[in-house]
Order: sequence, then structure tokens, then C-alpha cells
Amino acid sequence: MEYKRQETYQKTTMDGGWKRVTPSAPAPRKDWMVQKEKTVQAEQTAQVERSVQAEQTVQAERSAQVERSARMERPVQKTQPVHMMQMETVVPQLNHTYSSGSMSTQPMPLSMPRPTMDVHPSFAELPYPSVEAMQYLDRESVRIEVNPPVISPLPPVEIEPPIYTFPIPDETECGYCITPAMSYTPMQKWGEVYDPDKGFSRGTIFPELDLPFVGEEARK
Amino acid sequence: MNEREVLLKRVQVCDFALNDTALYLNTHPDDQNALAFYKKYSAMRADAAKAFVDKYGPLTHMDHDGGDTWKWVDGPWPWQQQEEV
Repeated sequence: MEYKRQETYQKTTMDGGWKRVTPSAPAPRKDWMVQKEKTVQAEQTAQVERSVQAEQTVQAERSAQVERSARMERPVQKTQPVHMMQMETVVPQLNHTYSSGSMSTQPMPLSMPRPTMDVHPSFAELPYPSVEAMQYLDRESVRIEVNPPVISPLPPVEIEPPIYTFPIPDETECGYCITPAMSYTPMQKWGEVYDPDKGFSRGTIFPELDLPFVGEEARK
Repeated sequence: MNEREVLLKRVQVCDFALNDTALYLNTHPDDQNALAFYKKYSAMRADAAKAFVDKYGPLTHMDHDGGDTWKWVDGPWPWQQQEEV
């Protein structure tokens, strides 16, 4: 590129007047400069590619999640609070109770119905044991009451992807707040004190505060 | 341990006990036992300091006796001590 000379005027500080400044042509670019520019450009391109790829991955995952939740077909009433939603599944000809006695005689459905109870949405996301796995479980723990078939199921509600990645046991237990630790330090009371000479060597005149760090010795 | 070191140690021990008691009194300002302990060792510290100053010169520059000589510079400097007292 041809460098066009341009004249600029700079205000001089000495007399307050104007001085004509003619900037000289820039020094020719060195090989290492060109190399560095190329490296920076390549790095920027790679970064853009990476971000596009990451975005595509996220999109794919989100669509898969929506598909999965749509497959579950959980009818949910919009007026109900989310944590009280009833899990009901249309399972025809299964108007009886699975108990330890009927497990062996009754035919098992191919897809297990979900129990009818108040379930936290985070629990609803947990996988339910398969028919094969149920046979090896404790029978008392897999007693499931199956509802009569739902005649007119409500239209499915679009389920948002879960925010929590871990199941929350009970809303009332901790109110969703996570308390890492609480400490309590009792107020000190004046009692026996060391002789000042001993206190001077121990670092405190209070025996209850004389707690030396023993480190490795604590294991012995 | 010579006599100078013994007197100085006494001041240090009293100072330490007073300091520890002062920390306790910060949170228990009405504890009469602690106040009595502080009073006792405060007097003891004053006696020990007076004994030291009379014999070996000022502990701090505030121990200036008002005479016509500034005795603070007469004592040994920290790097002139034989060992840490």
C-alpha cells in the first residue's frame, strides 16, 4: 500500500502556536510481524469455529431433551402447583394392584406405569426400573397401585428443562436453601488462670484456651 | 540469668498477663474477678518496672526521669544483647 504523506498540525506547548508536523513513512513490516499476524488470524478463526460448534451441540441437546420429555406424555394440570402434579399414565386393562402375591401370577405390562402420588418434578425425571429389573428387587418395595385408565387425558404441557441436576428430597425440609455449616462458640467464663510465668510460656493465661497444635502427634 | 534479665522478665510476664486479661475484659467489662486480677498485676508490673528503671535505665523513652541527661541512649541496643531475653 502506498503511503500517502499527510501534514498535520500540532499545537506547541512552548509559545502556544501551531507547528507543522510531517510524519515519516512507517517502517517496512518484518517477516516475524507478518507471521505473527497470520497466527493471530488463524487463532481467531479457530475460536469462531469452536463457538459455533459448541452452540450446535447445545441446540442438539436441547431438542433431544424436549423430545424426551414429550415422549413421557405426562398430563399435567396447569392450575396445579408443579410439585403436586399427579403422575398418571394410560394403561388399559390394568385395574388391579400389584402386590407380592400377584407379582408371579399376573402378566407384567411392557411399560411400567408410574405410581400415583405427589412427586417432586425432579423425582419424575429419575429413570424407573425396567420390568426385568423389578423381578430382582425387594417385592415389598415395588408395590404399585395402578389407576383405572384415564378416559380423557389433558393435553400435555410443555415441560421446561430441569434446573436442578440433583433430586431435592423435600421442599419443607430445608426450603431449597443449602446451609453449609453453622457454628456455636460459648462465651468464655472467668475461672482458674495459669500462674503468669506459666502463662507466659504457654502463650495464654487461660487453661481452656491452651490448645496447642500437635499436628501429626494427634494420630498417636 | 543475671539480675537485669530477671527484672526484665518479670516486667514481660506481667505485661503478658495484663494483655491477656485486657482481651478478656473487652468482652466481659463487668467481670469483677478479671478486674481484680488486672489491678493486682498492674500494680505488680509498676513495681517491677520501677525496680528495673531505677537500676538499669529506662524501659521506654517515656521513663525519662526529668534529669539533665537523656538516659535512653545509654542502655544496650537490641543488636548489642548477648541473647534474646
